[in-house]
Amino acid sequence: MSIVTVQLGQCGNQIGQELFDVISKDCHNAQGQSNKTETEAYRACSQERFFSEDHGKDTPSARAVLVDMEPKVISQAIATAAKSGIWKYGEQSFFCQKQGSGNNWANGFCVHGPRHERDIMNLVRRQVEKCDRLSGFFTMMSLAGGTGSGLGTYMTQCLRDTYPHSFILNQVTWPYGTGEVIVQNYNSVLTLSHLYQSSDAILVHENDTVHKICAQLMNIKQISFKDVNKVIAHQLGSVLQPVCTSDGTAEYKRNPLGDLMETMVCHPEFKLLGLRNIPQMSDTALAYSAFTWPGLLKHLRQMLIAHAKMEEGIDWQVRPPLPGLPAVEKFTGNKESRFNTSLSNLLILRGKDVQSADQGAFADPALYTSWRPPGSSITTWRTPIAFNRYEKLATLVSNSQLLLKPLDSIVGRAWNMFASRAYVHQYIKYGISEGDFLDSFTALEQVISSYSNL
Amino acid sequence: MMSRSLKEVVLTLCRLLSHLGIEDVPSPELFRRAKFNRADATPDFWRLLFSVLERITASVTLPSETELDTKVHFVKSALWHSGYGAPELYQLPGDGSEGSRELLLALSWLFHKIDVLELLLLSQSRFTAGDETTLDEQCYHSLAYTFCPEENSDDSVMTGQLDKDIRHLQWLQGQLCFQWRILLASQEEMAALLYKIHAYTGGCHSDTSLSHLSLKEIRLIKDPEELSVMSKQLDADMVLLESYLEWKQLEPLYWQWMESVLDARVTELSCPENVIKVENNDVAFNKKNNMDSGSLAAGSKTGQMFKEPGAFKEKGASLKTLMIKKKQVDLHEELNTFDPSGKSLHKVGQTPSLLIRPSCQIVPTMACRLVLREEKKKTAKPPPERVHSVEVLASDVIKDLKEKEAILSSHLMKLKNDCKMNIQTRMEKTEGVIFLPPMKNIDSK
Amino acid sequence: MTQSIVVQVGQCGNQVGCRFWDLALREHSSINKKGIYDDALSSFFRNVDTRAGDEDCSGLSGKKIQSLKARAVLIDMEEGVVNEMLKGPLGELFDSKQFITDVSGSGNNWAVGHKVYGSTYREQIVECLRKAAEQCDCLQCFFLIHSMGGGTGSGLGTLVLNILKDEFPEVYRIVTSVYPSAEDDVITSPYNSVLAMRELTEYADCVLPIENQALVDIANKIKLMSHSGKVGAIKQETAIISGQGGVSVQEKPFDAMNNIVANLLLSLTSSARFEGSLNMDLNEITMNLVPFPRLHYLVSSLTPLYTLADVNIPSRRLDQMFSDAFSKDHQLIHANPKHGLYLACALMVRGNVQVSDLRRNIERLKPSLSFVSWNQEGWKTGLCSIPPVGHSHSLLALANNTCVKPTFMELKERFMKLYKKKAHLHHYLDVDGMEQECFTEAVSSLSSLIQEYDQLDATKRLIMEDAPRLNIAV
Repeated sequence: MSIVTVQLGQCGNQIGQELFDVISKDCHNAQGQSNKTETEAYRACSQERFFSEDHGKDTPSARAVLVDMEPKVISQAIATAAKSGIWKYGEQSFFCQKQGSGNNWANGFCVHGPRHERDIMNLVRRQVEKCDRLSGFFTMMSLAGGTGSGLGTYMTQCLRDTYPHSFILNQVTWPYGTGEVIVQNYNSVLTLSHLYQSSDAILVHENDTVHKICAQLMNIKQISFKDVNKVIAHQLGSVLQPVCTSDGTAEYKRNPLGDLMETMVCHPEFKLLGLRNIPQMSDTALAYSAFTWPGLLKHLRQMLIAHAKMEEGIDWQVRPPLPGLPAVEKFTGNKESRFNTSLSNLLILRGKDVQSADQGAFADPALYTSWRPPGSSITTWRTPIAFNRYEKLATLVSNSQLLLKPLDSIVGRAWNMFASRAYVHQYIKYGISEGDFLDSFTALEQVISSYSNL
Repeated sequence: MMSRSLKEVVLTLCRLLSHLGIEDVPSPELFRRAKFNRADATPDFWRLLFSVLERITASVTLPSETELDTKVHFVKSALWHSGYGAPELYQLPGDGSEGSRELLLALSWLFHKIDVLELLLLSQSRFTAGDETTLDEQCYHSLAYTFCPEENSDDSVMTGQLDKDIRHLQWLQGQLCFQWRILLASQEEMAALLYKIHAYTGGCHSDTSLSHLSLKEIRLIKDPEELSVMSKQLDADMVLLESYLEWKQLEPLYWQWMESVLDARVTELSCPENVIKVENNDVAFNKKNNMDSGSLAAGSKTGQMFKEPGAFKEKGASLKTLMIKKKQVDLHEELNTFDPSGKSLHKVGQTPSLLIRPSCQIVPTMACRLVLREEKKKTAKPPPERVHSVEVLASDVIKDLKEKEAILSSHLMKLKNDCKMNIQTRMEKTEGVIFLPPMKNIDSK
Repeated sequence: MTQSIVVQVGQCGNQVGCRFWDLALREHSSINKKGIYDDALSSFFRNVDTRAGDEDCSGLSGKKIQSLKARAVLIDMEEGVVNEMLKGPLGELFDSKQFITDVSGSGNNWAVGHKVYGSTYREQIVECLRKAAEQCDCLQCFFLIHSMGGGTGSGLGTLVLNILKDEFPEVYRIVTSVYPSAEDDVITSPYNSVLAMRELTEYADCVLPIENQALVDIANKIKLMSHSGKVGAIKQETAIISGQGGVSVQEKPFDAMNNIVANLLLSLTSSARFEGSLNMDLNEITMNLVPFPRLHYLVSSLTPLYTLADVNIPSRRLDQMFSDAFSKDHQLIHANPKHGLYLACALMVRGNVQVSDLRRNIERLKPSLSFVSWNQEGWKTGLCSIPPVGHSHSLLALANNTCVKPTFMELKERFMKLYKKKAHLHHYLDVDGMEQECFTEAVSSLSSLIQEYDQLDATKRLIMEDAPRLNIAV
């Protein structure tokens, strides 16, 4: 089944371009691997999912719609894609204007959104019509900016209205704690609270985390946004590329987005998904490393329960709480021990000897909140095809308290700013009232409370 | 000694049963023994009843090596649920050691009342050449019942540790929704692909009323192996149908014999110490006369319990309509006589519009063959009817379903609002707490 | 791509503007070697075919450059500066329809500029602005350049601001205001400045205050460096006071200082004109840096002031660039941001700098700066990949900092000194439409502005508790 990608704003367009690049290259690399029918099935599935083939032309075009309010980023993305020679963007798949949203969520949501809805939805419809089988939409945007967050939120609502039963997965890039956009906390609060209404799942990448990965695991000295975006694209690719949904079958999963939602985000108050993967390293280091599945999964499990964002600096002292503790005690106990309680986890394993990998360590009921029936919270998908030159790669998609702290801090900062009414006039100018702000705060406090009480 | 023709009748029945896939079919001789209530025939009849009932109950599956007493228990409760009223059966010992005549009567009752043989016949998957879909009214009918608002606001629901369970239920509900959407997506995919086949093969079919080929037909053309599989399946279907036909021809003889079985039982029971029982028995099981009205209430239960044949469904539907009408009358009476207050008005205002509908719907509940029609042919005279006696236009069905959807969703809205109001009033009693309904999208300028 | 229009008013405004156009041309020609009219050029220039009767071909991006025309409106009530510019090598950038001049000047009187010339030339100014706006395909911003001390710049300049607000409410108004030094030779400059301040506070989206004295100090510092010891250690053309490489050959007395302001405007608009990994459009400046509408005065600093001739720059130099931007000698007004309270801060970086360099330096500098309690992480950053001419990287820091307050207080003091004596007051009150209230209102506007900064300053050393959050009843 196919996925239509919508890239919004500078961040969304830059990451989108990297994502399609990773996927294309991965499919090319897959060809060299052993089992021919298997790789062919993998390639075909991936191609159908992300690209459409125009008649008579050999380079496939991405099933993507590029949206930005200013032209520079889009034209760069299109040019970079064309230069790759293995994929391109469709000729009429982008929409841009001359003037950006100026970091103002309200400008994107209340002005640009309604003004350009028709044109953008036309582009989306054209992509949808090219799909024989549509699984749903994947949108990429930042939380901080104006176009990605404001227009992105508006367009997500439009997608929900136009395709009420389709699956919508929003990838959001969580801004650096400091130093990107000053009103990023407002923009994030408005975005997340609204996405919670119209999106099925929100997949989060924290810039701070990815930046650390670049510095400590990839050993990059002078980290650029391109490096950060490449890591995000790699992680996304490892989730979105074809994988078999159940043990034993060689069939690649049929509805990639639907299957993900159905295992991960069934409760309307819990829609935030975090990603962890292992190993993650520079190409040069990768060539000299060897891994075993038990070793990888042992690390990954501890990363999960100890809130570690990457495999370096994991706190090995953190252990699951004793069973039978009442929820309240467990909750307060959690704060001290920094134990991360999960709701559901999805393990995606790719590469050599993948059938031998055992998910057992993730099945421990102590890892999960008490109201989830034991055994139902962990799902494993596997494929023997290696991803992006990693001989073995484990990715964990987790619906857990991983994002509780960043969310709490964003809401806290925005609330502090709101208490002094700083910058509020900039939003009122475009039609967002103080009441709208309050609604958004309330909605997110509810989410925080729900995740806290796991 | 069984007469020859009777033996033939019973033999036909046995053959039909085993063609229908029933395990543990006893020999015709055992039927004769059962007439005389011979104990040695009893276990075989329990087993037979068990395999029949197990097949037609939708949800229960027990392993076939289950102990006899479990089977006895299962048969008794299944019969009870289907409305079988003779107390003698339920008084039979749990070890299954005696009462073969009662069991024979019960089996025959099932043939007559529940149309068990037809049910089994329909449940056998038979070969079809066309692309089919089912138009099932049933789910809607049952919905209509559960949606009658119940005045059940038990305070205990709000308290205690139930909130944990609620999150689990919410999760399950969400999961159902997602699975429904996955299903919908694959249905859409299938419809799109089917459309491609139909559109592409337009004019290929020898049957002009169809004009295009079905998926099955395409596969048969492409793959000769499928052809041989199909011909085997057709043979099997033929054998089954033949044996059913044979049974239908001989069936009157069976009922004649059954009367003699009943007579035998009555004679046995006419001993003075059994008189009271006989009376009870007459009331409960006076064949064909009282049952129709007596099992009214049981009818709805059977509806949920069995996979029904079309005829039975219709019966069920008409019963429901009757009950609905009765209910409406009741409501109106209630309104007119006792309570002209807002509450009742409210009730009447919302329920009839929802509940009247089933009576005016005549949509076949059977599987229908999907046929692609060009738009212009819609006004043309319908082609000569062959296998499919009723033609239903997809657009009509869709329109109909849309209407129902609208009714249901308005009802859902109302229920949601009621809940909201309910929460609101509860919240007003709590200090320092404001109740904020879930966020709505900001109306963009 | 958006366009901006530069409105230069008065002697100072036009002199700075002149330097801006010269350096803008220099910058584009160093990047745009092929002579193609591209999007970046279109933001400040039109492409006009003079042979085809001045046919405007700006709409055709990717065409060869014919004749560039500046998107500018030049206003002065004397002819000297403007005429000189027209005769000079930059003359062909403008045509006569872009000018509004008079011969008699404003006599260093705000009231004459604002009221007298304001009413005489209003129609003409509106017409001129409209014309310029019509030639833009997506007009985003007006840059107003003027001085606060004189009559035309402060009086007519602020009137133009008024007009812009009325006629183009959607278009941003960024004002570069040159504040007089304490030893200004214009005796009425405190009156003019305070009267103009009120207009700026009310009508500008954001103001970049610049002090003459600060520019002089920076210029002297650079000259000192280049004359001291190792001659040639500085690449002369890279100094921000240098106009080398531009079309104007002769250096005029104020050019060194005006080049600094011109460079400020180029850096400010660089991310809107050129590509980068983290774009920062002009409309993001006010959005991020102006938490309350009136507090829109941004203290700016440009670093490095020059580059050394030695190309092997150690990476320490990059961090030095960030440190310098926060030192008091590099600010374009006399103020020390480290002593003030930051409401918000933007770092606009150009050239070969990556996000990790930015993050490292923010972390490094943060402890030495104090931010208002509700904006502890009040940093906005932009990364533009095209560096200024001759540099590998550069930084423009914009700070919304209470350290502008002393400048305003000093101004108010000087104003009160004159005003108490009613000195020269009659020159103003004689002007039609000029009332005593104009003075009282202007000074009370300034006082309340100072007070707002005071209130924020008062929170500086307090440990502010977080605002109590909403609680969810479980």
